[in-house]
Amino acid sequence: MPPPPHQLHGQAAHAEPGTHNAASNPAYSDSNPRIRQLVDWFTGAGGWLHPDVRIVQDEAGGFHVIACSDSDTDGYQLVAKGHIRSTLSYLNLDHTQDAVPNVTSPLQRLLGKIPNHILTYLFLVEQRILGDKSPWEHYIACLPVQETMTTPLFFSEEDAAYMKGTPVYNSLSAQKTALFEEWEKARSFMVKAGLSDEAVYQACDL
Amino acid sequence: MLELSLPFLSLTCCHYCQKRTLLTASSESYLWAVTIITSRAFISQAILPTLPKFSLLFPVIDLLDHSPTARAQWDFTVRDSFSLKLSQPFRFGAELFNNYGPKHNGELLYGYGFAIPNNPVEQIHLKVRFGEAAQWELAQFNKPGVLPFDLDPQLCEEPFDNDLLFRPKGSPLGRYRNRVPCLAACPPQYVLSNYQAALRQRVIRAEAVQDPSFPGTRITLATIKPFYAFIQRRLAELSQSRSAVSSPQNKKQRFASIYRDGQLKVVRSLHDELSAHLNSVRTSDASPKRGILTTTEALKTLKQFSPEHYENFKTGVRAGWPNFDVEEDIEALAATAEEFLVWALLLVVMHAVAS
Repeated sequence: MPPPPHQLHGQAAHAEPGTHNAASNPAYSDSNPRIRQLVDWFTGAGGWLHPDVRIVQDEAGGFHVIACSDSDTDGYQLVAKGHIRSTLSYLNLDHTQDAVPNVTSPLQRLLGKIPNHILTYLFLVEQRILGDKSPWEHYIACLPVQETMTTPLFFSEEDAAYMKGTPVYNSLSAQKTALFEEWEKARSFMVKAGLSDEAVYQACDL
Repeated sequence: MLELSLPFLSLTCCHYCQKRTLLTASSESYLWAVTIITSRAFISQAILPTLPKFSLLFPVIDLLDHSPTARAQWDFTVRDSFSLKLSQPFRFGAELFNNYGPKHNGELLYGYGFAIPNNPVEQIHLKVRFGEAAQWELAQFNKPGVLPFDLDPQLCEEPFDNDLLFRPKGSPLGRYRNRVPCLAACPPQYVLSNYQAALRQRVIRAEAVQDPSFPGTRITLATIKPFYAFIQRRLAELSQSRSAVSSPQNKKQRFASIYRDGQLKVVRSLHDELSAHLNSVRTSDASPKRGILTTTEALKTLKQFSPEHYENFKTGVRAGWPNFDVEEDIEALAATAEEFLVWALLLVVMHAVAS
């Protein structure tokens, strides 16, 4: 069972700008350490990025992929390849499988007790809380935060008024209520499963 | 316990180990996670086909934004990797795009947080509920000699979709097979449901319709009517919404406006198409063909050609419904709640007169 990518990127993580690793990984911007860490982690986990591709961050904080050369292509060319061992989902909690790395977490107690998609949401929240203790630390650091999100769940009433009369507007209130209830129910399952604060602290000692 | 308030998470820390806990995370954190997964995750089937379908995040691959014209290919190696291939020339500094598939702006906005101006695959979405009993009843129509309007029998066999998508003329996704052009905008389940209601209202058995591929003007119009009413309502709501707000002041408002305006454009197109069809079957002095006429036109015709019967009719309606005056409301009859009643009484009177 391959270890989580957090441990795999140990060798590449400490590469300095201008070294062999920087030259062989032009996909990151040397001036943006967050991007460099992300790319090193990604390639350390078996991922690959086209050498003429670069990840950049815009002024609003969003990340994009751009070309850093001019070239024409005949047909389809490989631009990026992600390895399954870098993926994040509830499956990481399931130690009966070996398709993706196993992660130890009190949330394992909820396997089979709540829908898998909800367990994935909780797992992502937990991994974000763990910060530098999470194998996905560098990936999560590049994810958008609530303040920059533009899906309707984060619209104010004033924002939502601009789409009044549309199906998304009409279903928005019910969607928010349903998600809030889902969250409350998930929390009650966490409590029932014995996810006391103490248990979570112990699991944090990675 | 120490309480810390962070911009996006409300966490409680134990002051012994300074660790943070999932249990006290806020509902906003949950919404954040839901949004990340729904906007960035991929479906597991292609890479883990033996497991029940689920969503998983593919870091870095998920950084590419969507373009509906991007030529992208997704190749999965089972239990191993996800390869993203693009057929796009590289130009220095130009962004590379993935293609999430043909999605209308409602899906893009709700799922990914953006909308595309003039989205080529924009559609009107309507969520309905076809219960099991309703589905079974509609399935009885899916037989040769019964299925109306040359609907696609295969589409009618598939599980009834509760998310209906109506398409304008010229949609690159194509329209639904239907002998009546303006009904080609509608998913076949929707057409079948309206057709069934039209027959039931007239106490007509489906097997008794002589030529279901064209069941006659009255039944066709009765099938179109709920669709027309739906489009009129949407048009009114969206037009009102547009005029009620000022120019967008931020990104969210801009995307919301793009979505709303795209919907308005499609709804107007459907409305124009329906209106053109209804006008084409209207009777007129210039055309001797039989066609539809409004209750107002029928009353005016009665008044012109048989003033005595018209006066008797007016008197009779007032006797039964003292608060309603046919003469006063004649021009705006279609907007009143009494129109259908007046029409039904008129038919009875005309039948009696003709006899």
